[in-house]
Amino acid sequence: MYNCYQQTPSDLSIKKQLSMYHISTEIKASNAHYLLEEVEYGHLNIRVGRENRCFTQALHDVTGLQLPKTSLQVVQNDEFRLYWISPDEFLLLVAVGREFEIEKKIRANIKNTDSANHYAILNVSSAQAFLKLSGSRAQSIIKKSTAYDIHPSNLPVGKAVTTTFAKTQVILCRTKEKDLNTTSNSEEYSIIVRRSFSDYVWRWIVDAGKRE
Amino acid sequence: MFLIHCPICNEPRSEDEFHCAGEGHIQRPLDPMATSDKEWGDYLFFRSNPRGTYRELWQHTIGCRKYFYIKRNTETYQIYKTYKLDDKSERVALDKEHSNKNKFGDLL
Amino acid sequence: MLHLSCHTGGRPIWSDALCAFLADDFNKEMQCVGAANGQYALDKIIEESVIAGINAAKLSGNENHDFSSNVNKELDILKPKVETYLASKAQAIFHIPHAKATFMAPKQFVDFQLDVTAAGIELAVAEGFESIEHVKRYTALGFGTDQGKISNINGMAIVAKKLKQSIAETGTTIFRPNYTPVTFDAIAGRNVNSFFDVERYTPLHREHIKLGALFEDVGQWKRPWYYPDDNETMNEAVARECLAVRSGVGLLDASTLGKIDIQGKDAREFLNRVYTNAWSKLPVGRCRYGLMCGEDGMVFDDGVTACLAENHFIMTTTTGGAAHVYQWLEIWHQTEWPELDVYFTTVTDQWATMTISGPKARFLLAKMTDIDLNPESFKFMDWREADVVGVPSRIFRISFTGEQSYEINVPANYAVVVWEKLLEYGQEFELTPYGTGTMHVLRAEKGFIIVGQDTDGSVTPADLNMGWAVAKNKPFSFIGQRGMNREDCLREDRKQLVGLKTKHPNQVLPEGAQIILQPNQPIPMKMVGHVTSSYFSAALGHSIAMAVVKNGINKLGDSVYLPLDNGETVEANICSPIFYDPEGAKQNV
Repeated sequence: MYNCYQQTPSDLSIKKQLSMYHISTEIKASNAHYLLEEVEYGHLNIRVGRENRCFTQALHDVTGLQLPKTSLQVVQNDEFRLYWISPDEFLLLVAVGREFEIEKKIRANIKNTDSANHYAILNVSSAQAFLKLSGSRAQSIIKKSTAYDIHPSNLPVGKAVTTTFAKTQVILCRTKEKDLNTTSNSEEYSIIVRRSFSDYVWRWIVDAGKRE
Repeated sequence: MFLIHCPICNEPRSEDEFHCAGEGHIQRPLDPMATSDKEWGDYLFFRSNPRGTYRELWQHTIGCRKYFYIKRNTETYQIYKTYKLDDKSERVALDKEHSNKNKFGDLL
Repeated sequence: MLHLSCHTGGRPIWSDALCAFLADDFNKEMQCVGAANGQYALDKIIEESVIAGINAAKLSGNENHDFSSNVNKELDILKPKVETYLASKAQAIFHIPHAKATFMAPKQFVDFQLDVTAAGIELAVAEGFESIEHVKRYTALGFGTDQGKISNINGMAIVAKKLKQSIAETGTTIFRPNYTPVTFDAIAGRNVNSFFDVERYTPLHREHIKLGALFEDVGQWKRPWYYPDDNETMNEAVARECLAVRSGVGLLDASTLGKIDIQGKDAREFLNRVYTNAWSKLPVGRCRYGLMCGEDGMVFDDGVTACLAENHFIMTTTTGGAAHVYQWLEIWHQTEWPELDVYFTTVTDQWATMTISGPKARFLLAKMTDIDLNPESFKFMDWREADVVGVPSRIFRISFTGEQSYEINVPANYAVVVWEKLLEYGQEFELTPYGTGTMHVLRAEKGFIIVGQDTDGSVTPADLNMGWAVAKNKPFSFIGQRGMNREDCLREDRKQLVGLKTKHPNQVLPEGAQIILQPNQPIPMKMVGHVTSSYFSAALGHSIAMAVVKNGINKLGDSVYLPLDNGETVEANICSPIFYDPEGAKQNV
């Protein structure tokens, strides 16, 4: 019914270039105050309604995760991380190279093969970049870039928001809280951005990272 | 900064994230080919454009991408409420306003 | 002064004697003296000042002091001896008369900053803008950084004259803060250079730079425009690239085309409703071209959609229309047809698209993949899964050039590998990278439209002579069907898409040139259409143009004329817009 297939070459020597491949070698995104890195994951976009028990069961069987219970929530375990994007859209991050295996497994685990069983899974691992931003200046870089209130009471760890970032949009998360034992900001953020905007966002953060 | 409460994300967000899609609660004729030019023109081009309470369709474009309604005041910009597409209460209220208007003309 | 008065709610009043606006008395606590009050004689200014001073003192609370009886005394004391002189009455010359009517006369600039002319202002009035505020917004009169200080009075006087009323009746626009210009550095940040707007790159951006491409902005995207050799001009480069595609094989980065993944059992039904043509019978493995219209029946996007599996499609959109089409699908699904089981996901960034096009395209592709490329089995408008140099791909056999053409879609992470191999294997076929400049010419040679260039939101499929892309018997009334059947959309004399061949084969018409039927008619001439696309075709050896002409489809063979801005009038013949390979044989081999 659906066209689902392995998007990774079997020949592992074939050169892979992630979203930030070029820009990260051209412009260094770190100084004493911050560090920006691209982290590779397998990205699966999932579209399904919460009421589709058959799907959520299969998802649980394969990943051990239930759909996030509330909006903007992120749930995870040792192997998988699942983001709420909208009431019927979720992003599943898996270990690099496992995206096809997991997609196939979920599809295979769906007991009801009736065409009325409505869902969609899509491998979008090439379509977006996962960035990790850390360092004492991370907070001020994020503050410069978005109007969203990132105070820990509004953006705690475990929450993900799709919001404006510079003149584009990203999925923004706080991934590490401040260490209370230090005076400096020691938070960490993750930013998921669409591939075609990756150079822009990278350069933007580098520029923001130059200023206090 | 102007904040709009997204009823789907269930929190206030900056207006920049939203996109207005025009007047809300406009029903597409079920059989467009059976409509007269006038009926079709009314559906396609004419909007109530009131002074005061207005119900509009908006999208949380940079966010959950869902459409929802905003009931707001066109004079004061006050937002009375935002509600999901499947919330029928305002549809009922709107029909009532229309039937009152038909009954009493411009008095209301 | 007038500005301050306006800020407190006053409306300026016109004085015919002074030929100027003065503050009204809306604000009782404000007193104007001297030039601000239209008073220029020094002795009078002093007199006004004394009175105003006394009044101000009174208003400030010194009520028990009888100032009024003292005015003359004070004046006597204060009044310095000044020379009085007779000033002649102010004379107005707002609009220099000319023997010809304003719109025929040489340009008479009113607003020097925004190039608003007297003719422009008169046109605004003729268009029905009677309020001075509306005229201002229609013409941009007074919108410059001088805020109309040079131009406004003249402009308003021209409006008044045209409306046959006084300047007092016409009134003036009013002023907002600030009165004094604020320097930019007080309110602006630093120069943000390239952060001012987003630049979107395809995964192959660096490869284009390596090849010396110049870039064209398409929405936020940077697309390769052309790849000049050495000192080639754009025209030379485009001609070379065009000939390479027509005689050998060319390579285009088409990654910017919008791609939307559509899954669900009602995907076909949804496509039936948003496209004008039928999708019920498109088999797996096939592609189809579709036109999208608004409810008004006007074309707003087009593209090819492929059936990936029974319940799974991938739609392509124009580069600039991608975001709009995606929103369009969502709004219809969410608000009108939530009962249809279908999900849309943008995958524009997931797939890099490399198009190889030309009579040698298949020979090149055969070097890179093992799948059966036999045209009997992998036909025009088919798509296949394939490993291309070991990278999993989807290959769409569709053509925007009219040549044998394969669009190779690979996951963006592997785009550069495939591109490099294409260039490597392409050497023996003299594979030539080409950009949007060449793409535009090649598609125009075939009469393929570009939405937004050959259409402008007022063009129906029938106007494009593309009735073949409109289904007559779909059960559900698709978006646009009712609109395109309005009386006005069925008129015979609507502007319709045709081709134009100039009498002199080397003459390239300017895009936007107006078309008339009789060359020797008085101004204003009766315009029947305009040129939408125009190029020199290297393959054909003559210029080609696409145009919309009233009732043009029934005028094939007729002569039309195009008066150009240099005074020259060019003759052209209406023809079919398909200039190259009208049978479509070449894309089918």
